[in-house]
Amino acid sequence: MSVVLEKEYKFYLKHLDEFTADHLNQFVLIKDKEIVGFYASYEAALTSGLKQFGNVPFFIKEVRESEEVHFFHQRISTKNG
Amino acid sequence: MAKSFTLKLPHLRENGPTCQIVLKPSDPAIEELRLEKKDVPTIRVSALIDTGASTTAISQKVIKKLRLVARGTTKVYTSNKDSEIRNEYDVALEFDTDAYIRILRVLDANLEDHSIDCLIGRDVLAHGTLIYNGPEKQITLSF
Repeated sequence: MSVVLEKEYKFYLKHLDEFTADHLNQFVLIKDKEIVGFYASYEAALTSGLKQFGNVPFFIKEVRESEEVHFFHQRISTKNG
Repeated sequence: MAKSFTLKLPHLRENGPTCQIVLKPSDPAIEELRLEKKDVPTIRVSALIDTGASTTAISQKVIKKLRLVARGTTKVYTSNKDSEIRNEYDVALEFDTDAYIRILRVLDANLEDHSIDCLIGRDVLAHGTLIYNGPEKQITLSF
């Protein structure tokens, strides 16, 4: 499987310093390398994205200085397929 | 009042704590689908409650069946590889007790056990209590 929102993720990383300066712990909504807005919650960002674009891919991320990492001890394959 | 259910699992030690759940798009996505006059897909799947997983993961089969679209990315470490970036989706998750999570962010995964389509991680367990009763071969979940 591929990363669907790779360009939005790269855009997020590129602008992370700016985001953390003014919007730490808020949720940024990005669509096609454009910042749509910052929101207090994931739900607010999701609802806004759905209203503006419909049920299509768009990128939501909590602005953090260091990215949250999730851990799996087993049972998921790291092979892309 | 907390909603609770107990499952007798004869193969609890071998298979781990498993249960049946219903997955569908998140509530805000369902509202949008209804506005667009589209049907709302749902799927009932076997899930493994995995206290070793910090977040919940679903199989590609579920993503296709629910016609989910990506909402972000998430960084993942597994026990045998460096970090990688995975797609993130939003779903709603329902247990048999009617315990319901209306928006749950999940990631995609190639689950090695093909009888399982969802790993329920500690993000879900953060909402409730899991009792693992080894001698009685049963689990109790309450939310």
